[in-house]
Amino acid sequence: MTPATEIKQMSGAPAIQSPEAVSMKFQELHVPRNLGTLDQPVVVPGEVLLGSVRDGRLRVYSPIRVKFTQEGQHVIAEAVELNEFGFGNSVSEALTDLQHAIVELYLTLDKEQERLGSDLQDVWEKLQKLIRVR
Amino acid sequence: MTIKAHEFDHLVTKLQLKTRNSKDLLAWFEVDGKIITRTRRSKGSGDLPMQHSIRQQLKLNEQQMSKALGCTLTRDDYIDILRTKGLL
Repeated sequence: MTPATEIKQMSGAPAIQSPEAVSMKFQELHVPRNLGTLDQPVVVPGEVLLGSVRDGRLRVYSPIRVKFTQEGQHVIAEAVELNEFGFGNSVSEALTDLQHAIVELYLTLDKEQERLGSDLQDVWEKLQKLIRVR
Repeated sequence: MTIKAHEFDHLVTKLQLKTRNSKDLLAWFEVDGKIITRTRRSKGSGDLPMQHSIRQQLKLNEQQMSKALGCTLTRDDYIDILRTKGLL
């Protein structure tokens, strides 16, 4: 019987676990099983919420939903509601490319507001709900 | 599915998309001064892993995209497609 089990039995409170046991649980909970190798790429997350477009001119007011997919060696990040995408060799590269694309899209649609067709007008309205100029 | 940079450029020429150079090559389709669709491609000459995304931005289905890449889709055909979808 371990000292921790003894404590639980004596007091009825949850057992205090040994540091080794705590460490093992931490690993089970927080370390992804597949970190990737040179032959096997890292598994991409299914979806994230994007809270910044890394541009001093623009601020994200409402998180932008980003879906990831993998095509061969490339990762594609797609802001579904904006019909915009980015790609790269890693999740980070794809996200950076997408952030740049969103900034470019915002600035272009802002500049061309008077000339937008119905679909792009719809995208512009969505963008304004998600992003604002600082 | 990938799209080659030169295929994208051919599409731009064939459909008479307007372009602007930025970090990427930005391309958009105008009719009577209105911007109807837009897309982009990264610079470089390699394969672009996003044919699906470009197709969606141009509002084409897979068959129409194949025709566009195969040079059998004209600007007028594209205008008809957009009109059918209620975008014009």
